[in-house]
Amino acid sequence: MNNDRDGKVATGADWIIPILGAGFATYYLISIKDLAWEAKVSGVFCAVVLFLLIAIFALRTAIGVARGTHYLEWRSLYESHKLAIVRGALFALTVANVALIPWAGFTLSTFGFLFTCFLWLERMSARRAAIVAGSLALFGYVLFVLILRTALPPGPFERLVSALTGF
Amino acid sequence: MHLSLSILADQFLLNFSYLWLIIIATTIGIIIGAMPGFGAANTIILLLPFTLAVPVDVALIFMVSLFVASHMGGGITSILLNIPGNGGAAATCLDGYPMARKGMGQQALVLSFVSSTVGGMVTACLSIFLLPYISRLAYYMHSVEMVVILLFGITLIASVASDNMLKGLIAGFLGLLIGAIGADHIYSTPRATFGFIELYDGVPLIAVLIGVFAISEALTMMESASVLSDKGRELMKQAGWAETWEGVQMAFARTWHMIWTSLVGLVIGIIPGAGASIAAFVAYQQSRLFSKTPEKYGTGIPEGVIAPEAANNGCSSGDLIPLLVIGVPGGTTAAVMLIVLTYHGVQLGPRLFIQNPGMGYGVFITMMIAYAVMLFTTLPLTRYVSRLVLIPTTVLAPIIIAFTLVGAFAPRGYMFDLWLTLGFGVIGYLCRRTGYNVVAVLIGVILGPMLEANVMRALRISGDDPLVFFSSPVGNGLWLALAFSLMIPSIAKWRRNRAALAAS
Repeated sequence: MNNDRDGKVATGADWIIPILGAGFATYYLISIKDLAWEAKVSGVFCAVVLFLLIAIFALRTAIGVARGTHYLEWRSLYESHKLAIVRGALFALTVANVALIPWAGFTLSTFGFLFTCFLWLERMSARRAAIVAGSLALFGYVLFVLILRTALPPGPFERLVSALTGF
Repeated sequence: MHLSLSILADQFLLNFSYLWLIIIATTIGIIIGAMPGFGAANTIILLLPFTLAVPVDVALIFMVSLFVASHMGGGITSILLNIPGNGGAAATCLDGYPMARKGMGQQALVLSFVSSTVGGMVTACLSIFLLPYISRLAYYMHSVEMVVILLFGITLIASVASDNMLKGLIAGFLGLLIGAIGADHIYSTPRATFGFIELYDGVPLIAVLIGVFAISEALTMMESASVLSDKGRELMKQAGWAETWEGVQMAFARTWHMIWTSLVGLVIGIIPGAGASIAAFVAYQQSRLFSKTPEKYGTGIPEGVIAPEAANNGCSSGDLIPLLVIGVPGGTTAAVMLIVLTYHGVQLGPRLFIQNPGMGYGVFITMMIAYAVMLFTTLPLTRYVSRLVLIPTTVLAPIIIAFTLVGAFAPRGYMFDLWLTLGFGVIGYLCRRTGYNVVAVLIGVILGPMLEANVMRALRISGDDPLVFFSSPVGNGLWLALAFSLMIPSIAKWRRNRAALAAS
């Protein structure tokens, strides 16, 4: 992100997306090299324009650094240790939630995810976290599974409700 | 096209007798519109047994009400959470969310509802009388013109959605390239799928939408304890009915703005395939271009909410015009409606207006009644809905993640899409942290397959002659407009710098 410091533009972290873009464009071009030209034309056009734009970006940054109007920094990705831990943990819990859905089903995995997040992020009491997470998971089950008929992978809870009520 | 007052009166009475149905459909539409991943098309598909079982009039009233309400609902989460319910609401985030952060979420919601209603009603009313004439616009839009329009869309969005146009363009073209993943249109050979069979149909749009908006926003939210600024929090706590009234006044003080931006939406809606996302961004950009204070756009100003909301609802009328007049659906929902109507034996196209003109014009009467119903039901709710932003981010972020993930799964039913969503969540987060606008990436992904299809069609028709892209007068005019749109921001910046230098 461009942060002004004494009128200078921060650069460094904003190179991640162009690098990812260039990497993906290269892979794209490699993946289509043996195809008929009709299958290539649009992708080649987009990839070439993307490379051009990245080259202009590189040139602009290099000139800026040489002139002293730009400076290199990576802080915009990592502001503080505490925030990085919170964010990293939230993402890790999300990954765990997605990994759990096929086995635990939507309702139980959502309950587990929300319960852990509320306990840890909001510092709720275990009882309150369980009530809020449970209500939300149940609401999600009624809305998405029963009303909207989303074919989410069923878990023990969904099977039990289905066996007891026929829903 | 036989239009008479008696036909309109009959249709009005018919619609009015189904008011209960319109209320149900608009309520469902607003709710699903606010949820990323549950668009109007998906819901109509879900409720297909109902629409197929009831008489055609009832099915049509239900589908049209649900369709227009979903456009209105999409703005709610854009404003309050910076997460658009659908692509058409992405532009609303630009000023709606900053307004909400300032504690003006209630006013922003009212602005969104009123401008959606006015935009939708004006264009529906206009469509009734201008139907035979404006439908001809679609005839001038062939694949060559569509290619330029789509590129125009990307450059426009890149300049509107980003402080730095170069970064906006990089994000937009990265999106286009991501949109080109999957089987090609002629040989169906897979491209850049990383070996995943789930990507053969291309990257699912909903996974991108939820990833780059919802997941990345939830991660970004953790920076502060509340969505609101300190001052915004105080304002929000004191907010009462006066703020709703203030929003209504704000909107009607800009009546002309609502009208002309909705007309932009109508015209873009008529072009098959262009859709609400482009309509909203074009209206936003035009609104900024003609504004006396363009620098205020993006900071949370009423015009920035009015323009995209009026346009994406104006686009709803436009979307249905090609469907009714020439039998070509303007968007996905219109395509689903086409299937339902065909099942009911309705012949769309010019014959509809000869055999059953009431049904053709009745669509727009339904729209007008649905908008009126929506306004009266949603306005009193803004006071309570806007309080969503008072929930601490430590509670809000996990809820957003848990519920939007379902939206990513729903359209295709693949677990793979959930992992893809998380991947796009990381990309979206990196974009946000480093100043690349996620809107440009999303629009790129939406437009990518459309661009490829039109490029291929134009080349095939011309016998593979690349000069075909410069062969049409309308297309050449659009190329010029594209060139200007690329140059104008640089010229304006250069002039501002020169003025600042002269002043100092």
